[in-house]
Amino acid sequence: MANEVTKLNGIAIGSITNVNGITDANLAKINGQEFTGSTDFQKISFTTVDSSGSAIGDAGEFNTGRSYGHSIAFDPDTSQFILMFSDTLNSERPTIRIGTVSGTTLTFGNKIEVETHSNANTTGCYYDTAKDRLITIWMSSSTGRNGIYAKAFKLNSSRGVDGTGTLATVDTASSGYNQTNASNFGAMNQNDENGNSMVDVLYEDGDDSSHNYARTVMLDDHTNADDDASCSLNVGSAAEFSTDSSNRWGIASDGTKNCIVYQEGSSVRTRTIQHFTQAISFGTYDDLSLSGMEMTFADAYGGTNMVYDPDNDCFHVAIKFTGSSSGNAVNGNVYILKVTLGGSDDKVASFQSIGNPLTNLTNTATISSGTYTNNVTGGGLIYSHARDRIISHGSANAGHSVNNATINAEVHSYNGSTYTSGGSSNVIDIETRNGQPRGVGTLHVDASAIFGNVVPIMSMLYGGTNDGTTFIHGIDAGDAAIN
Amino acid sequence: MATIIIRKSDNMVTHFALEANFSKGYLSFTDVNNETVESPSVKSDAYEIVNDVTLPKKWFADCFKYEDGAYTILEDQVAMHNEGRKVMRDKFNAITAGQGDEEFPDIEVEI
Repeated sequence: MANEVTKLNGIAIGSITNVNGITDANLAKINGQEFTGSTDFQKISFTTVDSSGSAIGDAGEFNTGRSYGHSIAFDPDTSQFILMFSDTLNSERPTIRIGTVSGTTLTFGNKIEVETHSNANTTGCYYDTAKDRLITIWMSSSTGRNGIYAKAFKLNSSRGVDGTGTLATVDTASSGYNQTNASNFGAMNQNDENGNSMVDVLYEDGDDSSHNYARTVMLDDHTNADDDASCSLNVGSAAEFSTDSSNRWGIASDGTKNCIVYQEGSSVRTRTIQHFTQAISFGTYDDLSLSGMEMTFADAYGGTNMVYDPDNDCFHVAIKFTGSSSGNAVNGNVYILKVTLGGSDDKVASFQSIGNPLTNLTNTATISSGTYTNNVTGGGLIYSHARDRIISHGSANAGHSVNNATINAEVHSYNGSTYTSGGSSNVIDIETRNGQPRGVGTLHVDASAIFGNVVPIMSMLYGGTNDGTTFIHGIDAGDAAIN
Repeated sequence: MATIIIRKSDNMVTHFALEANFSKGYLSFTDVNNETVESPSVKSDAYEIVNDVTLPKKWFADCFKYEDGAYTILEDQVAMHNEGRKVMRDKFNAITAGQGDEEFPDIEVEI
C-alpha cells in the first residue's frame, strides 16, 4: 500500500505548496514517504451483467462456457468496448459481445455470432475510427486448413450491430495449415501514409513452409448508412516478412505506422509495414544482434508481445534471452526494450542501443521471474496511457499444481531513456482461481475514455475446479512511486 | 425438448439450442446455457428452425444431418474438424508439454 503521509512538520499536506523550491505537483515523496492520495498498482474487479441487469455467470464473467482466443477493441464513437472470443457453447464459433462501462459494472449485450465457422480459436477485433466500423478477424480450424477470415460490423449504441458485412477470406491453405499468434494477430493502422485505415494481419502460411506473411484488410468505400453494404471488406495481397516457421512476432501501431518485431532464425528483427494502397512493403529491418533472444514471452496463450507508448512515442517489446548468461543477460529472463521509428516518413524501425557488449542490455527492464517462470498463461504487455506506465502480465505455477496457475502482473515506467520496474516484491495477482489460464486479451489502444485509469484484461480458466470460467478484470497501473 | 437449426441445402445441423426464431430478420437463439445469441448472417432463406427435437448426446456444428426426424453423423466432417484441431493441439503441446490437460482435444459426437 502507498504510505499515507498527511502532515509534514505539523503542516497539513494540502497546505504545502512547495518544498525546497519543488512545487507540490512535482513532489512525489519525501524520505521515501508518499503523499496521501497516490494510487497503488492494483487489480480492479468488475461486475458483469447482461442488458437486463442479470449477472453473467460468476463475478466478472462475460460468457458462461469455455472461450478461447480473446481480443478486445474500443469504439470511441459509441463509448463501447467489444470482446471477441470463440464460444464453446456454440461450437467454438467466433463471437463478439459489446459492453458499456459504468463505474466497475460492465453491461453486455447479447452474444453475436460473427460467422458460422466453428473451431475459431484465434480472434482479433479492431475498431476503425475513421470509418466507424468494427473489423473482426479469426482463424478457423474447420475450414480453409486454418483459414483466416474477416468480417466488419456497424455498431449501434445499444450493445448491438446494425450492419453486418459479407465474409472476406484473408488467407486459406491448400497443402499445409496456416497458423498465427493469438494476441499478436494484427494491428489497426488508423491513418497510414496514404490516409487510409486498415488492419495488418500476420500469419504463418501453410502453403509456403510456414513462412510469415502479412495482408491488409480494409473497409471498402462505404456510406454512412447503417446497413450491411456499408461493411464490405477488401483483402490485400500477401507479403512475406520472415522465413521463420515459429509464428513468433509482435505487432503494434502508433496510429499512422504499424511496426513488427519478429523472429528470423536466431535473430530478432524489427521493421515497419508500409502500404501502397493495400499492397504491403516492409521497411529496412534492424537486427537486435544479440543471439539467443526469442519472441517467446507470449507463448502459448499470452497477450501482446509489444505495445505502443504514446507518451514517449516509442514501442516497448518483451523478448526472452535464452543464451548463456553473461553480463546483465541472464538465461531465461525476459527483457523489455524500446523500438523507435525514424527516417523519411518513419519508415525505419530501430532497436534501442543495448550497450557494448550487447549482453549489457543497457537501459532495458527485466520482467520479474514471478511473471514468466513456469508460465502457463503466456505473458504479455499492456500500456496504460492513463498512468503512462507499462504492465507486464504472465503467470506462475511454482508451488501450485498445474491447475492453479496464478495470472499476475508487474508495473514498469519509462522516462524516455530508462525503465523502472516494480520488482518481484510488487507483483500482484490478477486471477487466482483454480485452473489453467488460457488466451489473454488486452486492449491495443487507449480506452481511458471509458475505463478511466483501468486497463481491461480477459481470459478463461481451462481445467481444474473452475473449468470454463471466463473473466474480465481491470488493472490500475497506479501513480504511487515505483520502488 | 430442444431446437436445432439446419441448413436447407443439405440438412446439415448448424446450431443446437433451447429456442430459436427469425423475428429480427436473422437467427436469434437461446444457447444451452440459456444465453441469447444473435447470428446476423443466418437467415431464413437458407436455414430452417426445427423445434421439439432431442439434442444428440454429444454435438458439434456441421457434424450431423437431420432428415426425417433422425440424426446421421457426418464422419467426414468430424474427421475434418479433428484434423484441424490436431494441428492446433500439436502446436500448443509443443510449447506447453507437461503443463496440464491437452488443449483442443478431438471433437466427439454421439447421437
